Amino acid sequence: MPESEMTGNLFLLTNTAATPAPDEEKVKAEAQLVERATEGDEEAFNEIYKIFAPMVHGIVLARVPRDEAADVVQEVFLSAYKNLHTLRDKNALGAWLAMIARNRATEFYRQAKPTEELPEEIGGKHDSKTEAREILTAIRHLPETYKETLILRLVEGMTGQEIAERCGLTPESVRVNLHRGMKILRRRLGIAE
Amino acid sequence: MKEDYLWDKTGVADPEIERLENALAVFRYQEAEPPALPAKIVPFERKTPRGFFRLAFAFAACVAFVFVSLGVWLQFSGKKIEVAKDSPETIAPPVIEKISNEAPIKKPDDSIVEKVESPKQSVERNVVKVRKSVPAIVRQNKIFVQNNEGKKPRVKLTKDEKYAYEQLMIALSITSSKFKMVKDKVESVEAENAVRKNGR
Repeated sequence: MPESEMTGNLFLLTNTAATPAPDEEKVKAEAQLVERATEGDEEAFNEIYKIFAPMVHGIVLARVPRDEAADVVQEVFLSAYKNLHTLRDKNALGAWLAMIARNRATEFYRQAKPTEELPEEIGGKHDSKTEAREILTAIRHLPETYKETLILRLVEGMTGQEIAERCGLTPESVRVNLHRGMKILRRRLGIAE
Repeated sequence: MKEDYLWDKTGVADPEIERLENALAVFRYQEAEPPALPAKIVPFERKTPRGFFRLAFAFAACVAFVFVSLGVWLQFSGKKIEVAKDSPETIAPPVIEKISNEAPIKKPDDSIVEKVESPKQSVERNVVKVRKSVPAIVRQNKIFVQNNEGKKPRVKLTKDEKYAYEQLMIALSITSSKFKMVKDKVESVEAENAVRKNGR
Protein backbone atom coordinates (compact mmCIF):
# COMPACT_ATOMS: atom_id res chain seq x y z
CA MET A 1 0.00 0.00 0.00
CA PRO A 2 1.42 3.45 -0.89
CA GLU A 3 2.32 5.65 2.03
CA SER A 4 -0.19 8.32 1.07
CA GLU A 5 -2.99 5.76 1.21
CA MET A 6 -1.87 4.52 4.58
CA THR A 7 -1.75 7.94 6.16
CA GLY A 8 -5.12 8.76 4.65
CA ASN A 9 -6.52 5.59 6.08
CA LEU A 10 -5.22 6.39 9.52
CA PHE A 11 -6.64 9.88 9.34
CA LEU A 12 -10.04 8.54 8.41
CA LEU A 13 -10.02 5.87 11.08
CA THR A 14 -9.55 8.56 13.69
CA ASN A 15 -12.30 10.55 12.06
CA THR A 16 -14.79 7.72 12.38
CA ALA A 17 -14.53 7.93 16.14
CA ALA A 18 -15.94 11.44 16.09
CA THR A 19 -19.59 11.91 17.01
CA PRO A 20 -21.91 11.83 14.05
CA ALA A 21 -24.55 14.48 13.60
CA PRO A 22 -27.57 12.82 12.01
CA ASP A 23 -31.10 14.21 12.27
CA GLU A 24 -32.31 14.23 15.86
CA GLU A 25 -35.76 12.97 14.95
CA LYS A 26 -34.38 10.00 13.09
CA VAL A 27 -32.12 9.17 15.99
CA LYS A 28 -35.03 9.36 18.41
CA ALA A 29 -37.14 7.11 16.21
CA GLU A 30 -34.31 4.59 16.01
CA ALA A 31 -33.81 4.67 19.75
CA GLN A 32 -37.51 4.01 20.23
CA LEU A 33 -37.33 1.10 17.81
CA VAL A 34 -34.41 -0.33 19.75
CA GLU A 35 -36.29 -0.02 23.03
CA ARG A 36 -39.35 -1.71 21.60
CA ALA A 37 -37.30 -4.47 20.02
CA THR A 38 -35.46 -5.03 23.31
CA GLU A 39 -38.81 -5.55 24.99
CA GLY A 40 -39.56 -8.26 22.44
CA ASP A 41 -41.54 -6.30 19.85
CA GLU A 42 -40.98 -8.25 16.65
CA GLU A 43 -42.43 -5.55 14.42
CA ALA A 44 -39.94 -3.04 15.72
CA PHE A 45 -37.14 -5.43 14.97
CA ASN A 46 -38.45 -6.00 11.45
CA GLU A 47 -38.45 -2.25 10.99
CA ILE A 48 -34.83 -2.12 12.10
CA TYR A 49 -34.07 -4.89 9.65
CA LYS A 50 -35.65 -2.98 6.76
CA ILE A 51 -33.72 0.18 7.57
CA PHE A 52 -30.32 -1.35 8.14
CA ALA A 53 -30.25 -4.49 5.97
CA PRO A 54 -28.75 -2.74 2.90
CA MET A 55 -26.02 -1.19 5.03
CA VAL A 56 -25.19 -4.52 6.67
CA HIS A 57 -25.27 -6.21 3.28
CA GLY A 58 -22.82 -3.67 1.88
CA ILE A 59 -20.40 -4.13 4.77
CA VAL A 60 -20.62 -7.91 4.50
CA LEU A 61 -20.27 -7.85 0.71
CA ALA A 62 -17.04 -5.91 1.07
CA ARG A 63 -15.58 -8.93 2.84
CA VAL A 64 -17.28 -12.26 2.11
CA PRO A 65 -18.14 -13.98 -1.21
CA ARG A 66 -21.31 -12.51 -2.69
CA ASP A 67 -23.17 -15.86 -2.56
CA GLU A 68 -22.67 -16.02 1.16
CA ALA A 69 -23.48 -12.38 1.89
CA ALA A 70 -27.24 -12.90 2.30
CA ASP A 71 -26.75 -15.67 4.86
CA VAL A 72 -24.24 -13.64 6.81
CA VAL A 73 -26.66 -10.69 6.85
CA GLN A 74 -29.29 -12.91 8.44
CA GLU A 75 -26.77 -14.13 11.00
CA VAL A 76 -25.84 -10.55 11.81
CA PHE A 77 -29.43 -9.61 12.54
CA LEU A 78 -30.06 -12.74 14.58
CA SER A 79 -26.99 -12.02 16.63
CA ALA A 80 -28.11 -8.42 17.01
CA TYR A 81 -31.55 -9.52 18.19
CA LYS A 82 -30.05 -11.79 20.82
CA ASN A 83 -27.67 -9.13 22.09
CA LEU A 84 -29.84 -6.06 21.70
CA HIS A 85 -30.03 -5.66 25.47
CA THR A 86 -26.26 -5.14 25.59
CA LEU A 87 -26.50 -2.03 23.39
CA ARG A 88 -25.93 0.79 25.85
CA ASP A 89 -26.26 3.77 23.54
CA LYS A 90 -29.59 3.25 21.82
CA ASN A 91 -28.72 6.03 19.38
CA ALA A 92 -25.70 4.16 18.05
CA LEU A 93 -27.56 1.23 16.55
CA GLY A 94 -26.09 1.67 13.06
CA ALA A 95 -22.50 1.72 14.24
CA TRP A 96 -23.21 -1.27 16.47
CA LEU A 97 -24.74 -3.28 13.63
CA ALA A 98 -21.82 -2.35 11.38
CA MET A 99 -19.43 -3.65 14.01
CA ILE A 100 -21.34 -6.93 14.31
CA ALA A 101 -21.32 -7.25 10.51
CA ARG A 102 -17.54 -6.77 10.39
CA ASN A 103 -17.02 -9.31 13.18
CA ARG A 104 -19.31 -11.83 11.51
CA ALA A 105 -17.47 -11.45 8.23
CA THR A 106 -14.18 -12.11 10.00
CA GLU A 107 -15.71 -15.10 11.74
CA PHE A 108 -16.96 -16.40 8.40
CA TYR A 109 -13.39 -16.87 7.22
CA ARG A 110 -12.41 -18.52 10.48
CA GLN A 111 -15.15 -21.12 10.18
CA ALA A 112 -15.31 -21.58 6.43
CA LYS A 113 -13.30 -24.28 4.69
CA PRO A 114 -10.63 -22.84 2.42
CA THR A 115 -12.00 -22.51 -1.10
CA GLU A 116 -10.70 -21.06 -4.32
CA GLU A 117 -12.77 -19.02 -6.71
CA LEU A 118 -12.92 -20.22 -10.30
CA PRO A 119 -10.98 -18.11 -12.81
CA GLU A 120 -13.01 -15.80 -15.03
CA GLU A 121 -11.97 -17.59 -18.23
CA ILE A 122 -13.99 -20.70 -17.32
CA GLY A 123 -17.24 -18.82 -17.89
CA GLY A 124 -16.23 -18.21 -21.50
CA LYS A 125 -17.76 -14.94 -22.60
CA HIS A 126 -16.91 -11.61 -21.02
CA ASP A 127 -20.37 -10.31 -20.12
CA SER A 128 -21.59 -7.49 -17.89
CA LYS A 129 -21.60 -9.74 -14.83
CA THR A 130 -17.95 -10.55 -15.35
CA GLU A 131 -17.20 -6.85 -15.53
CA ALA A 132 -19.21 -6.32 -12.35
CA ARG A 133 -17.21 -9.05 -10.62
CA GLU A 134 -13.97 -7.41 -11.69
CA ILE A 135 -15.07 -4.03 -10.36
CA LEU A 136 -16.21 -5.59 -7.09
CA THR A 137 -12.88 -7.37 -6.72
CA ALA A 138 -11.07 -4.09 -7.34
CA ILE A 139 -13.16 -2.37 -4.68
CA ARG A 140 -12.54 -5.21 -2.23
CA HIS A 141 -8.82 -4.68 -2.60
CA LEU A 142 -9.08 -1.04 -1.53
CA PRO A 143 -8.21 -0.03 2.04
CA GLU A 144 -10.82 -0.98 4.65
CA THR A 145 -12.54 2.40 5.11
CA TYR A 146 -12.74 3.17 1.39
CA LYS A 147 -14.11 -0.15 0.26
CA GLU A 148 -17.04 -0.10 2.70
CA THR A 149 -18.06 3.42 1.78
CA LEU A 150 -17.70 2.81 -1.97
CA ILE A 151 -19.72 -0.42 -1.87
CA LEU A 152 -22.48 1.29 0.07
CA ARG A 153 -22.48 4.10 -2.49
CA LEU A 154 -22.01 2.18 -5.75
CA VAL A 155 -23.60 -1.20 -4.97
CA GLU A 156 -26.29 -0.33 -2.45
CA GLY A 157 -26.98 3.06 -4.03
CA MET A 158 -26.95 4.97 -0.75
CA THR A 159 -26.09 8.68 -0.69
CA GLY A 160 -23.18 10.01 1.35
CA GLN A 161 -25.57 11.39 3.96
CA GLU A 162 -27.34 8.05 4.31
CA ILE A 163 -24.03 6.22 4.70
CA ALA A 164 -23.02 8.63 7.45
CA GLU A 165 -26.30 8.23 9.28
CA ARG A 166 -26.50 4.46 9.03
CA CYS A 167 -22.88 3.73 9.91
CA GLY A 168 -22.57 6.35 12.61
CA LEU A 169 -19.85 8.26 10.79
CA THR A 170 -19.46 11.97 10.24
CA PRO A 171 -20.57 13.23 6.83
CA GLU A 172 -17.13 14.79 6.37
CA SER A 173 -15.31 11.50 6.80
CA VAL A 174 -17.72 9.76 4.43
CA ARG A 175 -17.15 12.48 1.84
CA VAL A 176 -13.39 12.08 2.13
CA ASN A 177 -13.64 8.29 1.99
CA LEU A 178 -15.78 8.45 -1.15
CA HIS A 179 -13.52 10.93 -2.86
CA ARG A 180 -10.23 9.21 -2.06
CA GLY A 181 -11.60 5.73 -2.61
CA MET A 182 -13.01 6.69 -5.99
CA LYS A 183 -9.69 8.21 -6.97
CA ILE A 184 -7.81 4.98 -6.19
CA LEU A 185 -10.48 2.85 -7.87
CA ARG A 186 -10.33 4.89 -11.06
CA ARG A 187 -6.57 4.46 -11.12
CA ARG A 188 -6.82 0.71 -10.58
CA LEU A 189 -9.52 0.24 -13.20
CA GLY A 190 -7.66 2.44 -15.64
CA ILE A 191 -10.39 5.05 -15.81
CA ALA A 192 -9.31 8.58 -16.65
CA GLU A 193 -10.10 11.15 -13.94
CA MET B 1 -20.24 19.23 -10.05
CA LYS B 2 -18.93 15.69 -10.41
CA GLU B 3 -18.20 15.35 -6.73
CA ASP B 4 -21.74 16.26 -5.79
CA TYR B 5 -23.01 13.40 -7.87
CA LEU B 6 -20.73 11.03 -6.01
CA TRP B 7 -21.95 12.44 -2.69
CA ASP B 8 -25.71 12.64 -3.14
CA LYS B 9 -26.46 11.86 -6.82
CA THR B 10 -27.26 15.49 -7.58
CA GLY B 11 -25.79 17.75 -10.22
CA VAL B 12 -24.21 16.56 -13.45
CA ALA B 13 -23.85 12.81 -13.44
CA ASP B 14 -20.37 11.37 -13.91
CA PRO B 15 -20.70 8.80 -16.72
CA GLU B 16 -17.98 6.59 -15.25
CA ILE B 17 -19.63 6.51 -11.84
CA GLU B 18 -22.98 5.78 -13.50
CA ARG B 19 -21.40 2.92 -15.41
CA LEU B 20 -19.95 1.49 -12.19
CA GLU B 21 -23.30 1.90 -10.45
CA ASN B 22 -25.14 0.09 -13.23
CA ALA B 23 -22.61 -2.70 -13.40
CA LEU B 24 -22.57 -3.25 -9.64
CA ALA B 25 -26.36 -3.07 -9.28
CA VAL B 26 -26.50 -6.86 -9.79
CA PHE B 27 -24.95 -7.29 -6.35
CA ARG B 28 -27.37 -4.92 -4.68
CA TYR B 29 -29.22 -6.16 -1.61
CA GLN B 30 -32.39 -7.99 -2.60
CA GLU B 31 -35.11 -7.26 -0.13
CA ALA B 32 -35.70 -10.39 1.90
CA GLU B 33 -37.80 -11.46 4.81
CA PRO B 34 -36.32 -10.71 8.20
CA PRO B 35 -34.81 -13.73 9.92
CA ALA B 36 -37.08 -15.97 11.96
CA LEU B 37 -36.55 -14.77 15.47
CA PRO B 38 -36.27 -17.01 18.50
CA ALA B 39 -39.51 -17.39 20.44
CA LYS B 40 -38.48 -15.47 23.50
CA ILE B 41 -36.20 -12.60 24.21
CA VAL B 42 -34.68 -12.44 27.65
CA PRO B 43 -34.56 -8.84 28.79
CA PHE B 44 -31.30 -7.91 30.41
CA GLU B 45 -32.75 -5.93 33.28
CA ARG B 46 -35.39 -7.87 35.10
CA LYS B 47 -37.98 -5.86 36.94
CA THR B 48 -37.40 -7.23 40.42
CA PRO B 49 -34.46 -9.57 40.65
CA ARG B 50 -34.84 -9.55 44.43
CA GLY B 51 -38.37 -10.93 44.30
CA PHE B 52 -37.06 -14.35 43.50
CA PHE B 53 -34.60 -14.24 46.36
CA ARG B 54 -37.29 -13.10 48.77
CA LEU B 55 -39.36 -16.11 47.83
CA ALA B 56 -36.35 -18.38 48.13
CA PHE B 57 -35.58 -16.92 51.54
CA ALA B 58 -39.12 -17.42 52.74
CA PHE B 59 -39.15 -20.99 51.51
CA ALA B 60 -35.78 -21.81 53.04
CA ALA B 61 -36.82 -20.21 56.32
CA CYS B 62 -40.00 -22.31 56.41
CA VAL B 63 -38.08 -25.49 55.71
CA ALA B 64 -35.52 -24.66 58.36
CA PHE B 65 -38.23 -23.88 60.90
CA VAL B 66 -39.96 -27.19 60.22
CA PHE B 67 -36.71 -29.10 60.61
CA VAL B 68 -35.69 -27.31 63.78
CA SER B 69 -39.08 -27.80 65.40
CA LEU B 70 -39.05 -31.45 64.31
CA GLY B 71 -35.61 -31.82 65.86
CA VAL B 72 -36.72 -30.27 69.14
CA TRP B 73 -39.80 -32.43 69.23
CA LEU B 74 -37.78 -35.54 68.55
CA GLN B 75 -35.34 -34.70 71.28
CA PHE B 76 -38.07 -34.33 73.89
CA SER B 77 -40.09 -37.27 72.70
CA GLY B 78 -36.89 -39.34 72.70
CA LYS B 79 -36.70 -39.07 76.51
CA LYS B 80 -40.22 -40.28 76.84
CA ILE B 81 -39.49 -43.24 74.67
CA GLU B 82 -36.54 -44.09 76.89
CA VAL B 83 -38.79 -44.34 79.90
CA ALA B 84 -41.13 -46.63 78.03
CA LYS B 85 -38.29 -49.22 77.59
CA ASP B 86 -40.49 -51.89 76.06
CA SER B 87 -38.08 -52.46 73.27
CA PRO B 88 -35.19 -54.79 73.97
CA GLU B 89 -32.72 -52.18 72.75
CA THR B 90 -33.89 -49.52 75.12
CA ILE B 91 -31.49 -49.24 77.99
CA ALA B 92 -32.39 -47.23 80.99
CA PRO B 93 -29.60 -46.81 83.53
CA PRO B 94 -29.58 -50.56 84.22
CA VAL B 95 -27.00 -50.75 86.91
CA ILE B 96 -28.65 -48.23 89.12
CA GLU B 97 -32.03 -49.79 88.80
CA LYS B 98 -30.77 -53.29 89.24
CA ILE B 99 -28.83 -52.51 92.27
CA SER B 100 -31.49 -50.37 93.77
CA ASN B 101 -34.05 -53.10 93.17
CA GLU B 102 -32.01 -55.80 94.64
CA ALA B 103 -30.62 -54.03 97.58
CA PRO B 104 -32.28 -50.85 98.65
CA ILE B 105 -30.05 -48.62 100.65
CA LYS B 106 -30.75 -49.14 104.27
CA LYS B 107 -30.54 -46.49 106.87
CA PRO B 108 -27.52 -47.35 108.92
CA ASP B 109 -28.13 -48.44 112.44
CA ASP B 110 -27.10 -46.23 115.20
CA SER B 111 -25.59 -49.24 116.84
CA ILE B 112 -22.89 -49.54 114.27
CA VAL B 113 -21.96 -45.89 114.28
CA GLU B 114 -18.60 -45.29 115.83
CA LYS B 115 -17.58 -42.04 117.25
CA VAL B 116 -14.03 -41.11 116.46
CA GLU B 117 -12.67 -38.12 118.11
CA SER B 118 -9.40 -36.58 117.29
CA PRO B 119 -7.85 -34.82 120.22
CA LYS B 120 -7.14 -31.55 118.39
CA GLN B 121 -10.52 -31.17 116.79
CA SER B 122 -12.34 -31.93 119.96
CA VAL B 123 -10.55 -29.12 121.55
CA GLU B 124 -10.86 -26.52 118.85
CA ARG B 125 -14.09 -27.04 116.99
CA ASN B 126 -15.81 -29.75 118.84
CA VAL B 127 -16.58 -31.53 115.58
CA VAL B 128 -17.69 -35.09 115.66
CA LYS B 129 -16.64 -37.34 112.84
CA VAL B 130 -18.96 -40.17 112.27
CA ARG B 131 -17.93 -43.19 110.33
CA LYS B 132 -20.81 -45.26 109.25
CA SER B 133 -20.34 -48.88 108.72
CA VAL B 134 -22.13 -49.46 105.45
CA PRO B 135 -22.55 -52.83 103.76
CA ALA B 136 -20.23 -53.38 100.78
CA ILE B 137 -22.96 -53.57 98.18
CA VAL B 138 -24.43 -50.28 99.27
CA ARG B 139 -20.97 -48.72 99.08
CA GLN B 140 -20.55 -49.94 95.55
CA ASN B 141 -23.91 -48.52 94.69
CA LYS B 142 -22.87 -45.17 96.12
CA ILE B 143 -19.66 -45.16 94.14
CA PHE B 144 -21.56 -45.85 90.96
CA VAL B 145 -23.98 -43.05 91.61
CA GLN B 146 -21.10 -40.68 92.38
CA ASN B 147 -19.33 -41.61 89.16
CA ASN B 148 -22.43 -40.98 87.13
CA GLU B 149 -23.30 -37.70 88.80
CA GLY B 150 -23.20 -34.75 86.37
CA LYS B 151 -23.41 -37.03 83.35
CA LYS B 152 -26.61 -37.32 81.49
CA PRO B 153 -28.00 -40.81 81.29
CA ARG B 154 -27.04 -42.28 77.91
CA VAL B 155 -29.94 -42.34 75.51
CA LYS B 156 -29.90 -45.26 73.20
CA LEU B 157 -32.25 -44.86 70.27
CA THR B 158 -34.00 -47.49 68.26
CA LYS B 159 -32.95 -48.05 64.66
CA ASP B 160 -35.83 -45.98 63.34
CA GLU B 161 -35.12 -43.14 65.70
CA LYS B 162 -31.44 -43.22 64.85
CA TYR B 163 -32.27 -43.07 61.16
CA ALA B 164 -34.67 -40.17 61.72
CA TYR B 165 -32.03 -38.36 63.74
CA GLU B 166 -29.41 -38.80 61.02
CA GLN B 167 -31.86 -37.62 58.38
CA LEU B 168 -32.64 -34.58 60.45
CA MET B 169 -28.97 -33.74 60.83
CA ILE B 170 -28.42 -34.11 57.08
CA ALA B 171 -31.45 -31.95 56.32
CA LEU B 172 -30.23 -29.29 58.72
CA SER B 173 -26.78 -29.23 57.17
CA ILE B 174 -28.27 -29.01 53.66
CA THR B 175 -30.58 -26.20 54.74
CA SER B 176 -27.74 -24.25 56.26
CA SER B 177 -25.60 -24.67 53.15
CA LYS B 178 -28.53 -23.56 50.98
CA PHE B 179 -28.96 -20.54 53.21
CA LYS B 180 -25.33 -19.68 52.74
CA MET B 181 -25.61 -20.04 48.96
CA VAL B 182 -28.67 -17.81 48.80
CA LYS B 183 -26.99 -15.25 51.02
CA ASP B 184 -23.87 -15.24 48.83
CA LYS B 185 -25.96 -14.94 45.68
CA VAL B 186 -27.95 -11.99 47.04
CA GLU B 187 -24.78 -10.26 48.09
CA SER B 188 -23.16 -10.77 44.69
CA VAL B 189 -26.26 -9.53 42.84
CA GLU B 190 -26.42 -6.47 45.02
CA ALA B 191 -22.74 -5.78 44.46
CA GLU B 192 -23.20 -6.24 40.71
CA ASN B 193 -26.15 -3.84 40.68
CA ALA B 194 -24.16 -1.29 42.63
CA VAL B 195 -21.28 -1.58 40.16
CA ARG B 196 -23.67 -1.26 37.24
CA LYS B 197 -25.30 1.81 38.77
CA ASN B 198 -21.92 3.38 39.35
CA GLY B 199 -20.92 2.54 35.77
CA ARG B 200 -23.92 4.37 34.42
